[in-house]
Amino acid sequence: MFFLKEYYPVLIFLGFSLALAGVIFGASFILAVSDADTEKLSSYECGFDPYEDARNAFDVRFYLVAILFLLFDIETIFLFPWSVSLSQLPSIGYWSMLDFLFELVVGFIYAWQIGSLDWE
Amino acid sequence: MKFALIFQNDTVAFLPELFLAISILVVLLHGSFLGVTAASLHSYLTPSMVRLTSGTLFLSLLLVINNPVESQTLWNAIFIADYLSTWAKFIIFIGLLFCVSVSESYMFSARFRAYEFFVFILGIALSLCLLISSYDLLSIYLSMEFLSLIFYVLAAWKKNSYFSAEAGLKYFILGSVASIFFLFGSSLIYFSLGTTNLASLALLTENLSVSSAFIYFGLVCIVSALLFKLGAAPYHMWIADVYEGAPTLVSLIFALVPKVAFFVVVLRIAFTSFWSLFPTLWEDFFCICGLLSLFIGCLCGLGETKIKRILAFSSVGHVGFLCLGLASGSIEGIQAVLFYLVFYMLTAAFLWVYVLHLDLTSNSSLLTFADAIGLVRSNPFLGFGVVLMIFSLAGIPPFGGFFAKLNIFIGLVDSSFFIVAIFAVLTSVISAFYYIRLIKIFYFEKNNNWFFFAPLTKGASIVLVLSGLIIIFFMLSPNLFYLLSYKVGLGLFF
Repeated sequence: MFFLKEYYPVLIFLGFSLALAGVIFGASFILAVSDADTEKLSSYECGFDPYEDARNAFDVRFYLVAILFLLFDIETIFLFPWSVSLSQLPSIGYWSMLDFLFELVVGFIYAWQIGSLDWE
Repeated sequence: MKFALIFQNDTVAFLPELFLAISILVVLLHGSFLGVTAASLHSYLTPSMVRLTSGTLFLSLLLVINNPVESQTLWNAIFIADYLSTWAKFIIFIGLLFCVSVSESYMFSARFRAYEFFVFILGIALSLCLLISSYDLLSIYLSMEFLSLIFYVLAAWKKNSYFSAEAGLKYFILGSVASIFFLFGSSLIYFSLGTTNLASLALLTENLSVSSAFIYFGLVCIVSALLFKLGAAPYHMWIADVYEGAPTLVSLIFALVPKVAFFVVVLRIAFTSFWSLFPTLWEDFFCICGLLSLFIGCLCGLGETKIKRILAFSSVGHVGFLCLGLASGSIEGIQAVLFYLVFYMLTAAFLWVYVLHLDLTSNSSLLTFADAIGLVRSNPFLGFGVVLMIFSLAGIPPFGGFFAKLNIFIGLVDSSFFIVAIFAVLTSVISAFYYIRLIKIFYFEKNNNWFFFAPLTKGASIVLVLSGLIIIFFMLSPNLFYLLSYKVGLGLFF
């Protein structure tokens, strides 16, 4: 009655991602040689001191770069499966990706023009 | 080339959206290149962007009106072009043109230089157009998210104000919860019926043979998310804080444009797609939401001293009336809803432009009634217009708001919801108290300080005159609006 088999790929993805996360964490937990010292055990904060005053101004440009990185990262995630399955796609699949890339380039030019890529 | 031929008609019917999508990119690039030179020359970009944006909106409006397609599903039945969508797009473009025409003076005095605001306005236009023509749960979700993301950014737009940040954050968190509910409901409906297309869902649920608890639960989730975006009562928590905290120009947009689009979506889901569930689900659901909204709208407004909050609670009350129009479940109810939407938008346009005008000279970011006291003496004409608009909101007879409420009551009585109608009348009596208290404060309170109001700009006065005249002199020629709402209401079914 219910369309449960439609949700089968979702279940596979769920199981796969759980298993993958478990394998990665478990392997590094079991296999890696653990030789702890103070520097290794302290939390890593991208070059910042993790235990400083919380009221310090944190440069907002880090967030900006992170957001821009996220955008272009997602674009790559979109491009990989497309390029693998391009031979089976009809022409509309090709042109819609070109349209997507065109709009992405417009956004890139915008970000470049208003200077969000400059560090100084 | 095959695909170009298949989608030829779709492209023709989709021209306004395509035009808007391309012009967003053009305006974005135009502003980014011009902005750098403007900053170096110390010149001011906003007036030219206002002209560009209103030109784009006007051209899309012409494209919408001259749409050759009568009624057709587009892009594999993801979207639909019909009479209802044409009408709703028309209303929305008018509302956005109102917003753009008052934006210039506000942006100047509030020191907003970011031209991206106008890109966002075009984005709102595009997402609302997509939302109105959506004919599939997924396309509804995507266009709703498109709209909401723009709204979250706009609410938090005043960077130096804590209230604005609070409004943006609250709206973002609560809005994402509502979106999750929408997705979960769609998933439940897909789980039990195997499709998300509204036309197929209508066929599948036609004879009630497949109705299960999952469908009901899914529909309640979906419509709750939509009513959250509208600010109906059990989901109204965000509305006062967001309206108050957001910059007034943004609150104007929030109040004016999205209601029409979301009600069109609710109409499509309740009346075309799940029409057969009316006696078992929609009647009770919309009655409860409508009565709660009326209750909240009239009681929470009583204690408020801030203008924007009182307008927010009054919008909750008006959404309650709209929900009751849906609950009556008849063609008269739909017509009353469409009629009410137009009149509520016009009244809200007048009052919010008035609030914007007060905001130009007020020192504090939070407008109280005290900021409005001297206006009837400094600009008696505008003051009198505001009084008439508040009468129209309260439902005093000769104005448009009265006839809008009357239609809702006629729909309710026709469907034998007598007790609901009596309750609605009682709440509107209570809410008339705080509307009339507003008038009393505006006219009869003494202000100890000197007052000064900015002169009305040309754009603001055009908006005020247009919306005000239609509301005040509606009685002289009501046939146009009645016929239009009848035609659009019938278009939902055929």
